[in-house]
Amino acid sequence: MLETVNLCAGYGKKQILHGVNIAFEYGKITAVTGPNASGKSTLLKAIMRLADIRSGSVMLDGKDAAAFSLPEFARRVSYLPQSRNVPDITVSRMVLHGRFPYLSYPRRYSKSDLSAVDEALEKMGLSDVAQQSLCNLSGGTRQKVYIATALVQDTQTVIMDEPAASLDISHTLQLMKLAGELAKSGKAVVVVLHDLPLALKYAHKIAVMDKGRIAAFGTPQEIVQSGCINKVFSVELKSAVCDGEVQYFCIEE
Amino acid sequence: MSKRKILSLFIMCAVVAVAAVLSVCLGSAEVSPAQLWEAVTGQTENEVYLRILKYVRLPRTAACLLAGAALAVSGAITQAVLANRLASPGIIGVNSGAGFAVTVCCAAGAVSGIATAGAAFAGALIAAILVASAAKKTGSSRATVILGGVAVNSILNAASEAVVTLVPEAGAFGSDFRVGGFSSVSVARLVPAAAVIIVALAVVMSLCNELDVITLGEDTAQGLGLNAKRMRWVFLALAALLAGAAVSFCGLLGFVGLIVPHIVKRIAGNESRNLLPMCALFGAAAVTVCDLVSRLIFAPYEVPAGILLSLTGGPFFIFILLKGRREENA
Repeated sequence: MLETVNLCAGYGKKQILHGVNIAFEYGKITAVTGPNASGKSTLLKAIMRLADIRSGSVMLDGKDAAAFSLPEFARRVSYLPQSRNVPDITVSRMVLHGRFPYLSYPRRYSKSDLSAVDEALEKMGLSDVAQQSLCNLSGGTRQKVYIATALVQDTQTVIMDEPAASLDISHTLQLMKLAGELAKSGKAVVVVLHDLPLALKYAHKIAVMDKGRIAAFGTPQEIVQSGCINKVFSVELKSAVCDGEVQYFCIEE
Repeated sequence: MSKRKILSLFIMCAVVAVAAVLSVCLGSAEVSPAQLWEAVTGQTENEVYLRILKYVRLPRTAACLLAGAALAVSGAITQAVLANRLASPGIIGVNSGAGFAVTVCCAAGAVSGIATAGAAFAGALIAAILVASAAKKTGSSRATVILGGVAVNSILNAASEAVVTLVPEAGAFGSDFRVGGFSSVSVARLVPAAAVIIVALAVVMSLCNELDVITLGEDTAQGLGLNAKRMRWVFLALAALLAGAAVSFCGLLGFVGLIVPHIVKRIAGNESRNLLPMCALFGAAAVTVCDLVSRLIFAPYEVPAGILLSLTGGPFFIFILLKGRREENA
């Protein structure tokens, strides 16, 4: 289990997270949501040692995450950042970079690395574009390539910062289905989502962040009942039953 | 590696070999390949040929090959690490840093190969750190990195000129050093720099995967278990080491670090495991051919190879940029 204990973090002199306590359990999708600049991405960056930790700690399987070397940590936790460079390399090479944490001397990728790439490309429906340059792909397809890279990393915890940002609705639903499959296989899936109805529908746990703190954390039901969404986002959360399922939507307060 | 890329690599190896043989054989005193072979295998007692080969042609050819390979690979690394295709050791001030340090070193009377190679590396590294730190601190855009480099270049070149004005002995290498050339290469000057270049090239080639991961961006690299911040400095130091070592014996040879990676990317792609060896070979061949032409074009007079490289490299670079732009718009 990945967890943060009284985590205070930021960049330079600016502190953004104030005593964040949260646990991401294996076998569950945890959606992290909140208004802009509430500290969602900083939380993920602090976990990945990309933000400065002032106090508190990040624990992985009961051990301080700082005790793991970066490659060791990357073999346990994969991270899909919000903004990425787009290098002019082929899709298959990009996905192969997901095996980088496993690379040992003589620094050459093995046959099993290459077959893991083929599997991930097939799973993400990218086999046809495997030899195309990343630069020539649409934003959505490119996003699928980055997700495939995270899959190839084969970690017990998968962290994704706004993975649905450039995906259309069909691809977004496919992504959430994939997140469900990963959770079912025992992985902890942490995903930053701005789409509240999507989070309420697919996540097992939701963390609502506000001003660098966890405003609420619980199951979708608990979050809805807490009224926290209305307060934090200044919206009114409504629900309707559609085809026997409860669907949520937000309207202006 | 695809068959096309393997074939390109073989062709480049052949081109380098031909350029090296021509460079050894041609010049104001011509040596035929047969005479060269006889000299190499000890079958001739002609002292003149042996002396020409041992003290002039072989060191000069080795210097061209090493300088070309070092500057081209240094350029490819700089472009990858700074994520800027206009970056090169000549443009961001690394060469000028090395040149300034060598000039100061000579002004202080330390003209041995080891002293100049050490000073060149230190100067190159300091210039690289200056530009990279300024870029990081100000969160500069890619264009600003280049502009910062231009400023550093200008300051260091002016400082070098000032040192030569005050201590004329510091300009012992003459204009050949300022524009880059191989007429004053000596074995004593070449050997320490050659050792540095060979070791640095071997280290860089073993870090191809790390260089590729750095180009994905700091966050992605960290997620893949690579400390991108630290590795960026390691690569900048390696680029400075390569450029500094080359500058210590061939002077401020421009354009190699800029144009060679651009041309090679079109043949070998952007993956470092293909790009870097091809850059080394292409850079070695390009500089050797330029030096050969510079020796022959106005024989028995020589123009420094750096002049020829700038005269041909500049327009060629503009052509590549325009072609790339047309392709992007197509």
